[in-house]
Amino acid sequence: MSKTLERILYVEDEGDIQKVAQVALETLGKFELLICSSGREALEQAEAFAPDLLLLDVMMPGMDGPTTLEALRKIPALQQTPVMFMTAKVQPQEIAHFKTLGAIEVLTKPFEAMKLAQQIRDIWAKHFV
Amino acid sequence: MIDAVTMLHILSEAQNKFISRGEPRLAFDDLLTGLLTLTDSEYGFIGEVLRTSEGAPYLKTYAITNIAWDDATRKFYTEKAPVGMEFFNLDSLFGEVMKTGETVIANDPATDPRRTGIPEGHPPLNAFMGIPIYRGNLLIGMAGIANRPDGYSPELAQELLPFIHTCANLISAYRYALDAESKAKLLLNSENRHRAVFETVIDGIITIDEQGIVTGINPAAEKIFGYKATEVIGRNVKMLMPAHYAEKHDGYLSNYAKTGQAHIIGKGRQVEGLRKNGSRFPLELAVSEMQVNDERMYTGVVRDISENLEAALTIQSSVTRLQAVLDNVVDGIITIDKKGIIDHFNPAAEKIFGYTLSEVIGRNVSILMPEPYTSQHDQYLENYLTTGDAHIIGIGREVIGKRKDGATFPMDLAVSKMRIGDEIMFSGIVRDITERKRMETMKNEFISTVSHELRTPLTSIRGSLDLVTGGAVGALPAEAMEMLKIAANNTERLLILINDILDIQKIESGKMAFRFETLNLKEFLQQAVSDNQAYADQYGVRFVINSAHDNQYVFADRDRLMQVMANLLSNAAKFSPRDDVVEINTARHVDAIRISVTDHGAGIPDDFKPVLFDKFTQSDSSDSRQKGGTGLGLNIAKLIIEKHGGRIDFISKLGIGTTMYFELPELSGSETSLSQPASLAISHAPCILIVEDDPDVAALLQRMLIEAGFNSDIAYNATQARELLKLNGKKYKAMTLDIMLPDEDGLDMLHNLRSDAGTLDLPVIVVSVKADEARRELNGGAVGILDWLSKPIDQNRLRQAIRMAAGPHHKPRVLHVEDEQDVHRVVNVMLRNECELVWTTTLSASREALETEEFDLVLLDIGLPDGSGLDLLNLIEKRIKPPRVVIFSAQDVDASIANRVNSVLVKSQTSHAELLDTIISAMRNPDSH
Repeated sequence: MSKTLERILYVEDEGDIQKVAQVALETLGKFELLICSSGREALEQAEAFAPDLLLLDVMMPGMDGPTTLEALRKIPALQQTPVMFMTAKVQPQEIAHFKTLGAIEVLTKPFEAMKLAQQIRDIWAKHFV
Repeated sequence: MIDAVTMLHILSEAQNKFISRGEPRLAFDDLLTGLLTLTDSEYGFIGEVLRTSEGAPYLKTYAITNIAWDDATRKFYTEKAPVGMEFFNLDSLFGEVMKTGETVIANDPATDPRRTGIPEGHPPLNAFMGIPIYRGNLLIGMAGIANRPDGYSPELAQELLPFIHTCANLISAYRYALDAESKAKLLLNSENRHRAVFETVIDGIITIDEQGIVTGINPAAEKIFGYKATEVIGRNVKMLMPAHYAEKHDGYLSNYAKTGQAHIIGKGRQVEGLRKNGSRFPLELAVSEMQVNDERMYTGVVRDISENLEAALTIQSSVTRLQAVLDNVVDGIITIDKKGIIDHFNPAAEKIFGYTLSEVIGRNVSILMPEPYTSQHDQYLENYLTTGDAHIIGIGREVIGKRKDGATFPMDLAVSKMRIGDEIMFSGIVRDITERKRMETMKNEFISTVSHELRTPLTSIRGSLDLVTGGAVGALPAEAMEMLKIAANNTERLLILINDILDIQKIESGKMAFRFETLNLKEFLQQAVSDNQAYADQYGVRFVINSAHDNQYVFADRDRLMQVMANLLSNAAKFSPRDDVVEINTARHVDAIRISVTDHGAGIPDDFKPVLFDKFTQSDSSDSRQKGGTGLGLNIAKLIIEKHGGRIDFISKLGIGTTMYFELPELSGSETSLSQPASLAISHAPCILIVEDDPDVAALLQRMLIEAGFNSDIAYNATQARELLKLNGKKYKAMTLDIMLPDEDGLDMLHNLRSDAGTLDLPVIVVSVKADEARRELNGGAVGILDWLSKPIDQNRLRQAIRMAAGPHHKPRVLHVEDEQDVHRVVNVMLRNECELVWTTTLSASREALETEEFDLVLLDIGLPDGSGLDLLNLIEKRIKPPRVVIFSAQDVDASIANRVNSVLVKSQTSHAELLDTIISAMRNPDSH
């Protein structure tokens, strides 16, 4: 089954990282990007945005990445939406844990901004093209 | 400060002598000698102060020493001594004492106005102290001492008070005796002297008859107990004791009369006395027995020690000091007897465990432990006493303690055995390490958090620099670009550093999970070369793999081993000349596979070699600084290789190049063919059949079984399993079975096996992700499955199940040649579950053992009392089935020796874990010479 990837819902609490990712994904990657600063904000806007991919930071104040995912999954339209986590936790067992939560991939921070969009496209292609 | 114990000794001696000697005056000689010793004085006298008929005081000496200054005076003193010498000169320092009745100190007599000079030839007088001796308010004598090097002080006079007091007693007694003598016109006899002492000594003396009726009590005892003699004489001595003594006293006396069993008589001990006013007080009681006209009498000497507490404390000072140490140390100290009953429990132990001393004394020490130790402790102690097998005694380890409130806590425990009299006791030193553990956890969490917190800003920095230098936001002037690239490079460096610190912390705290699998070495190295091609390109070198065979396997964590390779390859590339070749070699080396990376660079400077694997070390030539790196890479590589049971090292020559290498235990066989892991076999160990289609899981099971002391064969499908069982059915003591096999359902296969006589009762352990499911499905069906293990596999449970299945088996036999008992103890603790240990301490005993018995391994110390352990190597090598040899010695050996043995460990540089690993790995490799 082939899916196209155009719309990414990106949840990240750090403003600076948001901006870097915005350039990497919007300017360079030509994705349609909705950036939310918290899980709560994501819950409010996700359904209307109808993303192709959820890109979630893990460590966030309040709702962390996994909690946000759990909440988003309760929205019927988002139950099957592919998800990637982004984290500085890179232990193999941690990565394995995120995958059991349904992540198709775990991206490590710091990321290579110039290559981030391509990296995401490659992962997408591996799973859905 | 004078020595109070010595003083008391001198005083009691003098009292004894006064009573027992024929010439009571001699007691004063002893007193004087003692006084001079105590005060470090050169000479002196003790004398009586008498009055002339005019009432003027004069001195009559009973003892005088070292004052004779020529033959004439010596003769004078000798002749006069028995009757005493009299001195009337009041215009003198001693005269001043008699005139004033006060202590006189003259530390500079030459200029002292109170003196009138000394006779011609008198020994020099450099310092003097005269102390008056009173009986009540009456000045009855004085003591004079001279020439103490440090001079005299009022404090010293104060300290001598007990001494002076005894002098007073003896002078009074002497007068009394003389008086009695003169009155009765009788010779001074011992009875009188006895009477004299009885009347005057400070110790109370009470005599009783066989029924306990008081027949005599001296004034001191009257004073001590507060009774007049008339109130006591004729009554039972029990009136002087508190009830709990009094009750027993009659029985005690009659019992002693019948059996001679004494509690106090002839011994002396501390008891309680009861005064007339009802108050109780501690007293020292010494009782002796005497026969008077066929009647048995007892004399008790009592000393009130409540008034004499200070002196008592001094006598006991060493005991007290020790007690004080015990009471004040921060570590808990617990003493138990050989049955585990608590005998002592210091205040720190009270604090740690929450029990008071009285709550635990007499109870079993097992109340201080959680289960299962509570139930096991008695057995353990008993076992130790019969076999000497120790888990903790003499070793010390971290254990779990239980407080009164039931809470458990981690503690360090060191136990030592001691012998008190005929009794074996154990003392345990306990340290609560809850706080330390908490700090360790906090430290680890802190490092982990800090590393994470550092990554967050780095993510922004790195990302924005990447975008700018990558041109994503427009072109920049060349110079600006150069500066930003510097920033970008250093961001990378900082990131690597943080990652390295995090890695080290994780490995050291045991939090880094290693996922071991069977790696084909050739494929792995090809992967390593291609992964690190960027380094080769950057420094213009080529990576070339030599001599990697198709079927060499190691058991390793691929990612971590790749990390090591990345480190070695990048270092080699960095330090190589341009256009050069970096060689990667593999070779079998002793019992392992050695993987080496060789460059032809400048080599490692000698002074840098010893610290190469330490943290934050870089050869600090400017050249290598420029090459970058964190200084942590090789430290991490070393930690990783050690976690693989391997070792890492290097050979380097300046100007020629460096070979970095690491060695890992080799696995043989291929992933998919029937596996006969010859190099992994432990001779004699029982064999288990592993039926498992996933090669990684099969390899893992194999490794777990090796660690449990079993050999194993692997079948990757049902067909192979059947073949192996048909071929060698009796060989397998048990089988592990994966339910999902590629060619057949595992449970179906099992049903078939149960209908075959050869495998009817083969114990089977199911190891499967579907274990729980299948178990429910089967509903405990009658196919005889010993245990169901789901994945990930619980190694302990596997080991238990297998042990149950295989029953007792022949353990590998190890000869431990070691003359130090402590080392053997440690080895014994480590290996006794895995091996049968035979211990020899000499060369000759070891020879005999090797000639008459079979061993699988010899753990060899070199320095033995009767020669070198290395002398055994020839003998070992001549055996038909030579045991493997691990040298474990304080000294290193040269290469020619190292090549003849499986491993060489240097005691001071080897952890217990390394030793254990080395022994286990050596036992796996019977063909490794």
